[in-house]
Amino acid sequence: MNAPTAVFIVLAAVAVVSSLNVILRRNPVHSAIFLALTILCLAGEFVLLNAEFIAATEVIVYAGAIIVLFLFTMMLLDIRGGMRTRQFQNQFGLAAPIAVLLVALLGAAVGAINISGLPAAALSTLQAAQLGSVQNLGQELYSNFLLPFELASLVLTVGLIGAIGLAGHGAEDREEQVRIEEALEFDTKVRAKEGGHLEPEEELVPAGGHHA
Amino acid sequence: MAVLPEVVVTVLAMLLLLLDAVLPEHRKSGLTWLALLGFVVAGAFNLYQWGSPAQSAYGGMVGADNFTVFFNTLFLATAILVVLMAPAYLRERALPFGEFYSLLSFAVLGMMFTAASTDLISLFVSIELMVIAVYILAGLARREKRSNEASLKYFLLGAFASAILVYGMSWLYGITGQTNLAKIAGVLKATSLDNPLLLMTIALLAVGVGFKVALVPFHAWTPDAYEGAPTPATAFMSVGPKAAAFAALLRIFISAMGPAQPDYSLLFAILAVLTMTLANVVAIQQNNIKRMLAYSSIAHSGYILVGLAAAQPGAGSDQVAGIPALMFYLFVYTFMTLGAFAIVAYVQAGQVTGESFDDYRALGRRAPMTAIAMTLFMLSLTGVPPLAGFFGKAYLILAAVHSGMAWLAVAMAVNSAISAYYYLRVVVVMYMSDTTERVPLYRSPFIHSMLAVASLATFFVGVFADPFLRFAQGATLGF
Repeated sequence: MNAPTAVFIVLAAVAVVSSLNVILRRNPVHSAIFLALTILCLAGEFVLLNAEFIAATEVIVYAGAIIVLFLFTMMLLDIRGGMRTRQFQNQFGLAAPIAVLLVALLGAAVGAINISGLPAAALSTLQAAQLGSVQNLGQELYSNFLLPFELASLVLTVGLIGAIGLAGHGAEDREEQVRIEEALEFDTKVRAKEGGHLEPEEELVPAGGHHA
Repeated sequence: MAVLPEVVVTVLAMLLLLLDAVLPEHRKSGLTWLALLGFVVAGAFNLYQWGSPAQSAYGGMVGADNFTVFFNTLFLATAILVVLMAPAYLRERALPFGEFYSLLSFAVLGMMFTAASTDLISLFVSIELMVIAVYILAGLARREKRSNEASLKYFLLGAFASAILVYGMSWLYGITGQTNLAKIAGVLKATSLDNPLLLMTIALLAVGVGFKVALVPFHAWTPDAYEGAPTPATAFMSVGPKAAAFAALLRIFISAMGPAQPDYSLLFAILAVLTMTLANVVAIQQNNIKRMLAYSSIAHSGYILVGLAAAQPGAGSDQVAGIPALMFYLFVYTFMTLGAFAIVAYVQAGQVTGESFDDYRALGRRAPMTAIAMTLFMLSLTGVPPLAGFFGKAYLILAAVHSGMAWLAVAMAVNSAISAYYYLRVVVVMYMSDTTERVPLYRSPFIHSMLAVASLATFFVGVFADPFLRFAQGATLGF
């Protein structure tokens, strides 16, 4: 076993254990810290793949900015309430064996084939060494991958619209929500009692018969 | 320029966003006209490209061929019909016009690029653009808990499905060393297909896209998301992203993995039978019309999937080949489903929910034209001749028989018979029950013209099916 393989195995093992911890920990702060550890391991794997720029981005953007944001958000929320809620749903008993089975199946599929014979593995080491350089990445991003790059910026725009659009507007929203819920409740009661219709509250033009 | 229609829709989306911010509140209904104009212009540019030789753009990321033109026509028609259906509903419920239209445009843009993609990278980013916009559309009625629930469920399960899809794509790249769909097909043709990795890849990709088109057993999000979303958004979700996901299925499984067709044909046939049977049986028990239509839309995913199971890559424009039958059905499905949802929105006028079968009591007397249109859509969804739905199903059944899967054709025919029960129940309620209520209905020229277009299309695509079938066949020549 050569040095890169050994480093790969260590990083992969730590990544698997810490990502399991991300979902199994009760305390969300612990989960976030384990997520940071997972991402650091992944950054290490990217270095092994000669993708230094992506490794640096992983550390700066994910481990740095995003996890810190998670932690800030958690500080604003009441995590004690969250810690008391159930961590697994009823289907856990069924889901866990299926997940294990899937992992075994994926492993068997990978094990049954000669990986180094696949076309993707056939990149020469020289090619691979230049593949992840910043220069190469920039060139690819602004030539061959220009369209997905621009589309990704639109995806971010849409995400931003969503964040602004779906964020509540405080008291006004809550009043409206209460009004809708009361109306819904009334609606169900009337239906249950009479099986009939609810008089509409809104003022609308009554359409006597047809519309055309 | 290969991507001109897409550019028009991008500009439209940005313009709607900008005008929404600067226009005073009382002028915002003008955004409806702008959205209509934008989609019509994009549609004109799109149809102009029909028949021109296939070209590739952006380093093989997207292709402009007849396949793209066919799906863009479908998507832009969907967008136009949704824009016509929306204003009355949005105004009454005080939902934001600008956000609705601009998110709709972004979703349509994602759909157009999904159909045009000839590379796994652009395909994935386009699908994400589409679904993220639709998650937000589902939750746009943010003051309603059901809408919050719809959006969150759709988002969580959708994000999960996207992860599985992209994981499958990474396996495909691992096997072939290529992301370009045509190059993947080339590698698969040259290598042995007797490969366990390939089978796992097929499974992962089928699960990923199966979520997006709501196949059983990946359909659990559909009824809740469809019920909670604002009705025009539901109408859009049940047609647009579904058609785009089928375009993605064709791009992945025919363009790229066509050589592996014998490996996945049976898988999709089983999924199709499972989907239509379960959805139809559950749909019978629904009392909420939106949930009923949600299960109906799942069942139709099952029917449409028959086309892929019966596909014979290379058969191209064969009269009964699976792919043209699939695409023709998508075309038909668009109009009848959008029409049915428009009537749901129409009947919801002035009510908080208005989604129960009871709300359709005596609609035949209260609004005769609307009731006739609804009857037309329900009969077409059932598959009664001579309406469009009948020919759509007939071509799919023929394709199944032709590819030697007679049992699939039988399953589809039996399921159509089951579905008649819940579709005709709506008709029975409209004409054979009475109510003392005088529930007000919308008076919006938009929704009326939309209903007129959808009913005429449902009728005439059935009566004159031939040119539309040839449209679908011409679009598959690339395969």
